[in-house]
Amino acid sequence: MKTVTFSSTKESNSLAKAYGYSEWIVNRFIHYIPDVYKFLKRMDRPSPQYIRVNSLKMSKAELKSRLVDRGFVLEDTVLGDVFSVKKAPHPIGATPEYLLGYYYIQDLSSCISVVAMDPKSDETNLDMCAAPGGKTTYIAQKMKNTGLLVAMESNKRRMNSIVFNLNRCGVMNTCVYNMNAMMAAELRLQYDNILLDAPCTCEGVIQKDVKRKVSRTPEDIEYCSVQQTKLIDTAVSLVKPGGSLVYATCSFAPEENELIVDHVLQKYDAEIIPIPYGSEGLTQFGDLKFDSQIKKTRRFYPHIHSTLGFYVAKIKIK
Amino acid sequence: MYRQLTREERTILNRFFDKWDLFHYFKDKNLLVREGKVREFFMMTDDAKQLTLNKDPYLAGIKLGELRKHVSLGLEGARIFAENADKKKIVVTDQAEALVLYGRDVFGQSIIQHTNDFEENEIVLITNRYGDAIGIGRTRYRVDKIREKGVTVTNIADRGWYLREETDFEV
Repeated sequence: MKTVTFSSTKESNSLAKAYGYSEWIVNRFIHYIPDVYKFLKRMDRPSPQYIRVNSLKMSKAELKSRLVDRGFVLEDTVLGDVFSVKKAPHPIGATPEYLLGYYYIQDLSSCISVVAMDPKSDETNLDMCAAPGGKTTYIAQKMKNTGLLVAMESNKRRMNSIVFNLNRCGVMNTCVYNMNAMMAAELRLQYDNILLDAPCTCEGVIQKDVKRKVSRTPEDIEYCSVQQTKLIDTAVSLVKPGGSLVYATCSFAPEENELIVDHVLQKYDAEIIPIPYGSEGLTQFGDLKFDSQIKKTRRFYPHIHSTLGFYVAKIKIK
Repeated sequence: MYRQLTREERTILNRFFDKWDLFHYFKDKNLLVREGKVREFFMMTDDAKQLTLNKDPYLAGIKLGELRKHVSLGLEGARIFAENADKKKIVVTDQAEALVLYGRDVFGQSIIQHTNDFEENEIVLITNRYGDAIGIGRTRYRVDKIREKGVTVTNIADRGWYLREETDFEV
């Protein structure tokens, strides 16, 4: 698969200069991101901050009351477990409540991928690319700390972050493996639900790391797309019949998102389960055409949804 | 490498739990030991235990503490102890809470409440006014002198450690 690129235009050239991007990226954005001018402006502003209450340790009402006492202003969001932090008298990652594991600093879009997964008590579930453990701790919370959650991370340097976060959040139903998720079959388990938040080019977190405006190349998208296809093939092979797979990335690139999900629909007996948040997935990009079900997958844009850039698809494996 | 507790380790832990009135709480819990530079003990679900014994993981369940010459309680262990027992506790002021989380010792004047069951040089749980275990301390005095001027409880471990050690954040 070759990354879709478009010929340079006056518009792409001037937007790339104005906002400091490589032109090929902006040129792609022009072709699929709604209201691209607003989008580019929004990407230069800090991302909103969200916290997710850890109901394994504390109720939402009590957490709110304690943080309001400390001078924080919190607002409800579309997700019951998540607050938007509107005012913070000091860093939200330095309160006693944070250190006690009563909440996790986590983007709303990231939480939506776990809500889409809908993990339940006593299930056997898998988080394939788990560091630093934000979604893992949320899955454990949704499972009420019961059953079995397997978390995998291939990067040894990122293992400490998982250990800290799982301990801080009081998670005790999880086994963490320092292994490449492509080798997950070694555990000889089949799972009710799998979350694959795949390694990606991370275009969606440019607000947090502006270097990504110029540091990525079309070859990076191609490389990630190949890896993501291998990972999702592995994931499909590990889901119990009738189980589900949630695929997510923090990239906007259709080659890392819709194309990967389309591959599953073409190759396996699978269907897309709708997710009630975000914007529709693309059914076409450049000369790429995707299954019409892909509309039911979801895109999250900073200027529309006040989240980081994110993509989520829920796939039922028949 | 995770493994089942030996009979001797189980006895040591049972005695330790009993000292905190937690023998019954831990009676039916799944505990495993991880061998390494030190022996650590963990609590986990049935299913997690089964997989752990089958294929050794990097981490399984919650670390409760370490088994050295004596049992040494960890931060998550302290939380569970504070939630389920009312033994060997001191409650500190909000200001002292912040200082403890920076790794500082506890001054007698900042202790607003305490249980009456500890001697000098004993392990106590340091809690805030909500009863959250924010740290683990060692008493420098026996209970009747614990609120005297100056440092009366040494900070052994505190939850500020999570901030001092944390290197990565979720997006």
